[in-house]
Amino acid sequence: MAHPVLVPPLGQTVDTVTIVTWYKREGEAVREGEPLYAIETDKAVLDIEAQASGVLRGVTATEGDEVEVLRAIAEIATAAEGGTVGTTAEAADGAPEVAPSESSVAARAVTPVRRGPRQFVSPRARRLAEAEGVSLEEVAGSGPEGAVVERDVRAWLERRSSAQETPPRELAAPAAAVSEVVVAQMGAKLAGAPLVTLDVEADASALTGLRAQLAAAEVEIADTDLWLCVLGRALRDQPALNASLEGDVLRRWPRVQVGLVVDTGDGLAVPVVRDVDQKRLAQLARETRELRARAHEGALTAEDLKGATFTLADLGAAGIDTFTPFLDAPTTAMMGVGRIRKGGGAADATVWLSLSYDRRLVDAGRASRFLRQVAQLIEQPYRLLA
Amino acid sequence: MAKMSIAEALRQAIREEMVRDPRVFCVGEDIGVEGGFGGAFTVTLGLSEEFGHERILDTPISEIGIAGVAIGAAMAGLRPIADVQYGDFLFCMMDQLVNQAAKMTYMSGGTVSVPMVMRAPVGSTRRGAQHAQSLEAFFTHVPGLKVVAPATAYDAKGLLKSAVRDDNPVLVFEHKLLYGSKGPRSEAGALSPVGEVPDEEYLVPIGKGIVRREGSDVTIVGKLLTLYRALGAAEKLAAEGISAEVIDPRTLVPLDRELILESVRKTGRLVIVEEDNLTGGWAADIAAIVAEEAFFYLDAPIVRVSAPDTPAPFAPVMEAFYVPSEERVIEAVRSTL
Repeated sequence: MAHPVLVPPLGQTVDTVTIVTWYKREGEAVREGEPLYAIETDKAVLDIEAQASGVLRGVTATEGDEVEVLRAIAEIATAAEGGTVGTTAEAADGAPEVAPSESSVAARAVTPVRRGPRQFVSPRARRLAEAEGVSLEEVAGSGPEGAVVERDVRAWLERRSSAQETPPRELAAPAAAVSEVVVAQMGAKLAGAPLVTLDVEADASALTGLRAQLAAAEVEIADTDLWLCVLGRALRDQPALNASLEGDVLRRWPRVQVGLVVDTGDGLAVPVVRDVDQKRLAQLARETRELRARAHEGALTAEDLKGATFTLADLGAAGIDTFTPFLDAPTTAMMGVGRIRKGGGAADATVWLSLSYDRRLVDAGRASRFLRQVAQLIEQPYRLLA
Repeated sequence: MAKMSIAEALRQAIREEMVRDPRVFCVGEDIGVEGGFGGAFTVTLGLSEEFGHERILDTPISEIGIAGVAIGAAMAGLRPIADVQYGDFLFCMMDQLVNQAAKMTYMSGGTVSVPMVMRAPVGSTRRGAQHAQSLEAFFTHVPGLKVVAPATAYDAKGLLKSAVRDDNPVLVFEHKLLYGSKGPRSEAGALSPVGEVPDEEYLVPIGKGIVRREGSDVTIVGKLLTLYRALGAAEKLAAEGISAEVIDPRTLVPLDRELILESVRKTGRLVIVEEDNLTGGWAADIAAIVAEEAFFYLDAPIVRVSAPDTPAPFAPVMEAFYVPSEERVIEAVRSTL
């Protein structure tokens, strides 16, 4: 059946939007999840992703048109209708719901030829995608037999980098959707992953001193930013834990992107801090402040929640000493940090670190070494400069 | 630097090697007869006058005899340059070439060598199925034989001289449309590539290929005549903004694998063009090497452009269809993009 392309509802205050551009033309193949068109509201410009795979047809709104939300502006015909096969014998066997119509024949004429429903990816494209941390699900193919080839991945990377260069768009998304994503994700994780947690108490005196010195120098940072800084270094040094599970595939990523568990007041959200290993403390502090603020306003977007390669939960501000982090998949490991306690024993200040990991994907040796390095960086923060 | 055809370059190589080394001699059919052509394609023209009939040795029409003389003389210490009028006749010599020449060094524990050169013209040139075959793959398959396939005058001279000095049996495949022979021995449709050949002594090492044209989008490997088909296709593709790199392996055994692999690692695409039949051909082996060693660099399926699995046809129209054309190479390249 054909999936209608509906203008998405964008919150209570938006009734109409303007079509900025179509990324696909009438008759072009579309894959679920790839950007289909862009709209502009009074607040923001947004890319809207295709909700199904098939062939785009019946486009009724053109660029510049103002359209009401929830209106159908096109449809995506699935393979049974607009795809590559449709003989009478197969129709009897496969029992498609609609007999091939005139419009589906027209759509077929301009559809790239595919031998089957499978999306091919050239070895070269797969290699590049893995090196650059690109999820191939998001890339449309233009090569032989519709395969994703190198130029498709490069074009995707170019779009990503130009998206990063433009000032952050004010993205509208209802708070409810954010919370759904989080709940669904956390539920899925807990069900599947056999978790192991390692705990260690670290001497935090040096780090507390460092933070006081920075404050005296008018660099305002939170404890969380220090943990991020330490994690960025440790994950760069030990990339085995900078990984996530995609379906059945474990992927290690070249970029270090830490999902930060944030209490929005209404529930938890896990926005992602990008390239943690590349940023100075002050920049990390700015970004976490902004993410927290957006989380509280319910203004996080789906983009903010994508792409974590590791997860951090800091319950220090909540007054918790130690806890068992439960894994926010698809990352393979998660660090929990408690509050910094003054004068515990020999040290002036101590903090509990807990590392939960999926034991199918990380072995205890790697996990221990990683946690040891994190503790060492906290106890001897001068190592961050080395 | 002199400009000469491949036939002239081969002749000069033979002459220089015969002057340099008294052990070198030629053996073949009609290579030195008075009033003859100098072999089927003029390569030995005039050499019998200079070196006499003892070193430019005419034989009866018996390829088995030629092979026996050449292999025996080589084992006994001479350096024969044997030739057949058409490569197709190498099949008459198969036992001697494959069972004797190729294996003698191995079977004797290295005590006997067979420093023989066997020259053989190949390619479809309106002479029908038995004077048209491209036999390279039959011999690249045999351990113990070296195989070269020069496509320019410079390489023809340099490779033949290296072959004469090599202690292994070396097959030299030459394409009938590339000799540039003049007069009655010029084949219909000949390309006559005339190239510059240095006056001073030089060798082209056996085992080194060459990039004939640099490019970034696709690698095309061609040899002998199909090198020129590849170059022609590359020129036309360039007009469309498609940048093709063209590689001439020059030596087929031992193959300069790294040159091809390096190019494919750069371009991500490979088209192999050859005049032989498709099945079990030389192109299949190149494709297998790249699939095994550079798989993760490939951006598209490897494509072979070859003759169909039929004997070469006699009719010119059918032959034009049979031998890979520039258009087929262009089509193959497009299919990879």
